[in-house]
Amino acid sequence: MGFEHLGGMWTAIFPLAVLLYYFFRKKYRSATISSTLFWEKSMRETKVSPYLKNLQRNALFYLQMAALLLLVFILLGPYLPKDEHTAAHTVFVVDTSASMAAMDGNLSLFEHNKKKIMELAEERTGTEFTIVTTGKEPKLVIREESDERTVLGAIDQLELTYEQEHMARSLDFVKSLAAEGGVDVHFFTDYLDRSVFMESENGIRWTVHTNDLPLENISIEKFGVVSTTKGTEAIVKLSNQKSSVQAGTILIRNEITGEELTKQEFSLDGLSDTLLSFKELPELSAVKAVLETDDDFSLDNEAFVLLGNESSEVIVDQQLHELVKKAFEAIGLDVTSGSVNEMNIAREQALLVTNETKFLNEGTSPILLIGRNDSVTDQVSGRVDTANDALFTIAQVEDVYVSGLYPPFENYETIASVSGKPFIQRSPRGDIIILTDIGLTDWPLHPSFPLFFWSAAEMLTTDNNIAGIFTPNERKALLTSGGSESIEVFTIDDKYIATYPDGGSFVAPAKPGIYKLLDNGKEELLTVQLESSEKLVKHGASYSLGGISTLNDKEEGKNTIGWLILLPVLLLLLIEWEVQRRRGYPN
Amino acid sequence: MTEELFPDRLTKRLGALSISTRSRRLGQHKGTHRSSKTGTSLDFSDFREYHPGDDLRHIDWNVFARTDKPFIKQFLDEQEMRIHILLDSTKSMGTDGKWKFARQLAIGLGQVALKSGDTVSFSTWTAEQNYFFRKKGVLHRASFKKFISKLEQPASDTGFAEQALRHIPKAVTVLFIITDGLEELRKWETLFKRMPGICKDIRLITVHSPAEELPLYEGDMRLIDVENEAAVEVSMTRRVMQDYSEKKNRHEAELRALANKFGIQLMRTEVSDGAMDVFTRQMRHSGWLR
Repeated sequence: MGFEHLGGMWTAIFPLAVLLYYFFRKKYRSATISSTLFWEKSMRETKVSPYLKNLQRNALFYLQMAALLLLVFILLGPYLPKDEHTAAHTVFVVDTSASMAAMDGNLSLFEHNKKKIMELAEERTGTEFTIVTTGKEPKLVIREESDERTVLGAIDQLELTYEQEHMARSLDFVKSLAAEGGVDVHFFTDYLDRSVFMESENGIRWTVHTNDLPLENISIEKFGVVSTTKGTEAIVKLSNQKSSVQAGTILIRNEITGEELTKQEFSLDGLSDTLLSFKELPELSAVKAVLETDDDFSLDNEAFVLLGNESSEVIVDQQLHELVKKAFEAIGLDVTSGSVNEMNIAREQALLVTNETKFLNEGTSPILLIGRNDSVTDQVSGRVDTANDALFTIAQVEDVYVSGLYPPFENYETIASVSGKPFIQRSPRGDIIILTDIGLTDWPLHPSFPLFFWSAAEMLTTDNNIAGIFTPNERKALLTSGGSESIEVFTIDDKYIATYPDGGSFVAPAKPGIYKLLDNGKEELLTVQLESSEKLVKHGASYSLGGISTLNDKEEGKNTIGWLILLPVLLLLLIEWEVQRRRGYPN
Repeated sequence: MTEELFPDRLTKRLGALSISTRSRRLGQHKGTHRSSKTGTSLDFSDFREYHPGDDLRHIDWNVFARTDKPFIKQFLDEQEMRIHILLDSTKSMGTDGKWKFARQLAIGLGQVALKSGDTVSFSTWTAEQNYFFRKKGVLHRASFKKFISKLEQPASDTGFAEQALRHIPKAVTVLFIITDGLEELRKWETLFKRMPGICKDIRLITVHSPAEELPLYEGDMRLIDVENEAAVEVSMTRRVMQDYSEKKNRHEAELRALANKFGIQLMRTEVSDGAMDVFTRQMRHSGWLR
């Protein structure tokens, strides 16, 4: 037990005052009477026990003292530490990552957790519930909802999102939700380290429900496919998370046709990795590796690869403006600056950003040309006009001021112009040509500057019929044709998944697999792959930390004890009144 | 003395009263009270047959002439009474006007008795001195009054009941005891046991003051006994007051029962009633005075 307002101790003055009053009270007035014969007799009864006599004589004093002391006690705000059931607000943090799909018996970990949540929610009917699902962006399913039907409905509709749980984000999110304290937070995950709760919050009780038994799991940790001159080669890295020897089969399939290309049996020691390679496969665009074995987590037994030019390396010409390199660095590409010779060597593997016009005619992959080294600029003024092109769906360049332009290339498609003169052109090969120097514009001051380079890099490096590799529910802008039609997503079996109005609002599907993207009549492929951390099913003991405390929880404390003591006080006052009534008023 | 203890007008109002008693034990001297014995008064009592040895002068010759049998004519005797008044002079009598009232009673009784020509004796005592007075005859009324008026405030602190017996003279017809009765019952009992041997007609007058009847104390009191100075601390409550009254009433009832057991008459008087009311009303009602 503790006290909320120890400062209330000053009220102890009141009982002390009464005590002093009784100390200094005039005791008896003397009177001489004929005989104490009868008085003596009448008092003899009270002399039975000196203690009782004292009590009788001072009953009023004791009662007053008791009542006052109890009142002081109440003012101190006593409380009992609440047990968890008294929390008025329960928060469930539900891990919806792929690892929760691991089977434990007949049900997945996720379904087990759902059951547990149901039970807890039913046990605490009437209190408030908040449900948060994990992920890169933690989602609030319901907030401070106390309607039982809504809560149970919401729990029932929880689904896996397959994305990494990002527990730290959820934790911060919950902390901000539970700022007022008195909250019971339950985590449902496979494993959560205690160290994340280092900064213990007052008034929050953390309970972590984990997967407490190790599950059998063999996963395809890595799956790589490369096209070589001899055909397609594939490498599969297997990882056994179990301590015993496991055996199984690896199948390699053409995902588009469903045709089985090859298969290989393997046997793997406990807690070890192995590499399996497959050579001389036919040319493919989408490959699937399937691990056939008997384990508890099946999601990571499949892996997908889309073949295509996936280079993310950029070589920026040394002669270009420094900010161009910075812009590429800002969008997260591997940027090196290089001379003409270096660019010559690497031009097949990397995206070239240069002002050397000769690269327009050399090599096979398109380049980004900024300025022309074979010409000089003419002065120009006016607004930038852009054509309807995928390049400008994200980066709006209309506001950019351009003071000079190089002469344009003949027969190239002009996609942006300044007062009628070409500003940005595209070659038939796909090269993007910016007919100015960065120094002649105020472009770096605009937010469209890095965005334009990102769009350009996306457009130049990505194979046209591959939309990209995504993690589950990844939010990533797609470069679309810019047409008025929306993007539609289908599975490889042509099942409809979702529609997005434009490439900027695209969110990858949740379930791992290969998907088709229909954009303006053009079909592209995309894969959704598990993050490597999700291929591991962790386990650990459940635990709980912290208590619903105290400082943040005034109402609870008062309610628990304070009013209980008021009743004895009232009773004491009643007895006092009765004693007073029988004895008469002193003096 | 600014105010006389017993003004003469009171004496006048007592003029018609006399003490009545059924006691056969009267004084040896001639008095005014008719005795049940035959004697020499003028009042005829009875006839009885002559037996040898009787005084021939008392034979009623008229009756002898009619019946041929000698009859003795008897007359009632008139004898004096010996009245003794014993006044309790313990300190408890000194409170709340009881002393004055008690002395008034003593004077009144004495005067009634003296007027009837009886022998009146009075006794009381203090620790140092015993007071005794004995006179007969109307003429001594004034000196009796003076004697009692001169008595000082009571100062005896020994128990009255224990001492009383020593202060009662022999051969008393009627014994008046004026006291407040505030002593333990067993002391009264020892006294009462021995009383009938001294006197057949004992009359106990208990004197009570209003302050004793209904004490007006409030709050916490230290009550000090005037006689033995024992202190009792009492918180005055209705309950305590009630207990007090009950104890007091029980004590009085027991004292009365004890007195009845030994053939002692008891009269309860209150200071507030006034002495004259006691004489003219209460004593006549109970047949003490006539």
